[in-house]
Amino acid sequence: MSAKIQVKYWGELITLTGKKDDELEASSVAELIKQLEKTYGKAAAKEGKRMLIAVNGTNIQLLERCKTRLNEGDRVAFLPLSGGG
Amino acid sequence: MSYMITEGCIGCGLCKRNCPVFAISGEPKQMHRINPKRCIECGVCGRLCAKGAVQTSKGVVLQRVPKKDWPKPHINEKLCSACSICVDSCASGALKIAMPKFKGDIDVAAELTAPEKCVACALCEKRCPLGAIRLVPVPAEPSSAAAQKNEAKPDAGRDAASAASPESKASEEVRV
Amino acid sequence: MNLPVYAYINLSTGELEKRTISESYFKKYIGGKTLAARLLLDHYPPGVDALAPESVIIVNTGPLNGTGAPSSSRFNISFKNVLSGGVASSNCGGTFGVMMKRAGFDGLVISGKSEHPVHICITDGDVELLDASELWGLDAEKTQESLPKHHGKLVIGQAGENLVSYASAVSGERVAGRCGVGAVFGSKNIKAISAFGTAEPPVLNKKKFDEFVVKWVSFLKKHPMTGDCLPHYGSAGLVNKANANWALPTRNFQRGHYEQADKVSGETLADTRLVRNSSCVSCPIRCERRVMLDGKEVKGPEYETLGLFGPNIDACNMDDILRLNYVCDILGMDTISAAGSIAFAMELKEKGIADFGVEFGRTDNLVDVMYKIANREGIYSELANGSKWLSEKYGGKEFAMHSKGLEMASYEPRRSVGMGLGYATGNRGGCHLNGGYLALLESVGALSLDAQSPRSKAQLTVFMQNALEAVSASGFCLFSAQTFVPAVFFKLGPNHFITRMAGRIMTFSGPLVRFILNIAPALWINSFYLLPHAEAVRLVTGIRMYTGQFVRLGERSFNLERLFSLREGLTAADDTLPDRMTKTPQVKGRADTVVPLDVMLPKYYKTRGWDKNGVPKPRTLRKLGIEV
Repeated sequence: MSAKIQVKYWGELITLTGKKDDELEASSVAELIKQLEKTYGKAAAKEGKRMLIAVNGTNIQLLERCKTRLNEGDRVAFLPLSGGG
Repeated sequence: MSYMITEGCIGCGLCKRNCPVFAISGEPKQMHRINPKRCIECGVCGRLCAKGAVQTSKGVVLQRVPKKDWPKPHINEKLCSACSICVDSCASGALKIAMPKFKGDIDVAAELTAPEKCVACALCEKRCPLGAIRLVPVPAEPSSAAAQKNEAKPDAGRDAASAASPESKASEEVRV
Repeated sequence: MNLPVYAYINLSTGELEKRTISESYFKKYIGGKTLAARLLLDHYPPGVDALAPESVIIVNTGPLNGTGAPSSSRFNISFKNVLSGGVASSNCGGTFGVMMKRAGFDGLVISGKSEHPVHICITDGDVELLDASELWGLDAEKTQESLPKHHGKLVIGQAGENLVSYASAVSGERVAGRCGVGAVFGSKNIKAISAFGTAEPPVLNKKKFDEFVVKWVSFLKKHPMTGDCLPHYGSAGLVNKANANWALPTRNFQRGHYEQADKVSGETLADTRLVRNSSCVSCPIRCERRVMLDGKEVKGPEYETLGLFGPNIDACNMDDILRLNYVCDILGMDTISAAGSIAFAMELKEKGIADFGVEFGRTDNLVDVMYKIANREGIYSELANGSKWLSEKYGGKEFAMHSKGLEMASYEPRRSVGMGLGYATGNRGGCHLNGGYLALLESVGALSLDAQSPRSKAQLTVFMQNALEAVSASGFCLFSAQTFVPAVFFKLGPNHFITRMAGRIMTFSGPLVRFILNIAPALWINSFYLLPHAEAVRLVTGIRMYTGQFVRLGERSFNLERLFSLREGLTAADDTLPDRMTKTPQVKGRADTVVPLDVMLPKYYKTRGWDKNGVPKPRTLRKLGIEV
């Protein structure tokens, strides 16, 4: 019962996957990472895991982390870390 | 310490126009003066002066050097952090930070974009905190080729030098 | 020991005097904002209005400016805060500071008021007061074009001339933005200050220092924050991260999350507009954005500008923001306070209280509004007084988003409660950097403390405020201090177990931090991983500066500024936040999404060694060696 997820890559992941926007099927963030690994290899999954992951614009740390459930049409963004002020 | 302009000065203004720290003042055809508080003893004025009117604080007269023999900054791109101290120091605008080679390229360095403007004052070398800039004698290809010719045929070399002289005279007036 | 030389300039009488700072002052206060705070306490006539002729403004540098150390071009301007009436310091990265030092001066102490517009020209140890009547009325860009090309410049635009309360001073394309420095210059008729010289700033231990700088630059280049994130996305990269953590102020801080924030994010900026990244002189971090605007390459916006001219006014038009950023810079106006005041005016309109012709969601008319504010035209003259003034006239104090009168930066304190404490206690007012910048540890960085818990926030805020204060005082950019978040957390990422545990542990680190603060002078260590700045100060000045003493220097600085504010009439009652932050939960039904200021503030005072009224105790001052 996986759903179609709109994925947006940033930073290193663009190079690793070769695209900026993507559509993957997964029912949770953890599964999405697995899909990432299956489709683009280990390096992509590793990079994805260390980025800030936002589901519909909200950090998964504020949700249920990797267990965050994904529904049809959800948007997931892999954001590079940043700093400044 | 500072360099000084002596009696021989005819007030041509060449040194004033090319001083990298704007330390020289004077009216045309009048004797020029170096501001001792500002002079950094880079010797640009002395290298330009056809009259040998610039001397060091110890009284040593600086020799004129043709522009083609001036050293040029060489930038070690591996060491350079593109902090732009050199670009900021270069009054003649000979240096720039390179443009990114591709989108998202952050690995850039300083480059000598206008070598003809460089007066070889060596401020860039002096101020670079990473020692990434060195002034190296004379550019590479044409001169080395000429040098080889010189060794082979002394006469031809002399011809070449005399042929090049009007050109170098024109380019001497860097900032007119 | 090479002691700093200051020029004392009285514009009313035209008197100029060169004074050397005493060795005891230099050893104790080093330079920059710390020494400036001391000199303000010494020279500022008590109770005098910020814009009165008798007021004193100090433009000074730190010992590291111009030495070639990384990110060391920042100079400081200290004065009485136009918006708050307390102390103000503003930091800027243009070439002026370095040039002033090469011209033989470490600082200027300016008092009085000139009869006509004046250009203070500093060359080779001399100060000249030149007539600047012809420059008056020009914007900051044109003014600088009219000054000698090779000089380091510091100028004001129309906003400063017309005494806009949040006018800024501009050096090159860098801006000393906050607290109304431009208005103070304007009130004294100072249109421009320029400097040129060739005296290289003294470095005591040149050989060791050079080696140290090479190592430091390579450390900065290797660290993910300063070598990767900041050069790629600049501070603008924070938009998406703040948004993901619901800490991005939206609709005048009504919410913390904006659906379309990605349109004005640093990633989008880098993807669609960025021409190249650039830097202040001497900086290897290179966070400055360069973008094209009407066929001209200009400085791109920082995070604050994007957030406050974007989501905070319910808009997300990148083109308009680029233009507003540029217009604010040439008019000489602080983007944070300008945008904050406009957001407040928008909410006044939304609530039907007052109409300034600005409304949420609309940015197309704002460039015009900026010009009107800078020229104080008609009703816009009121917007030029800032949101505190507006709220006193029209009401709506509970949603006037300022602290002590200074508009808050673009971090939603209800999702970063430590930042809230910082806003409330910052000497300048609602400033993220003077407030300790806990937002970086709570909600926008790699490491995440519990952003809703008041636990340990008081101690951490004190520590961070002290550290940032000292970094500023020595002449460095605060970004060079961001390497203190270990690189390993960036490599593991925010979702990794270890990073999360580290955040957890730090949430409980309060007592330890307090202990460290107490024994600071005993920390005789210098390390790249803590604050490399201390070692740099040691090598340049010969003062025995180690991490502990360095943090203590910041503490001295913070207390000095506090003393000045208290003397000028601020009280503990000013250490506050608008009711929207402390009483209205950001998310309905989640009581923890408010700033528990009443819990944190007493702890903060206690950690600082202040009494219940927020006044430094005599014992604290003795400890810091401050004589009043």
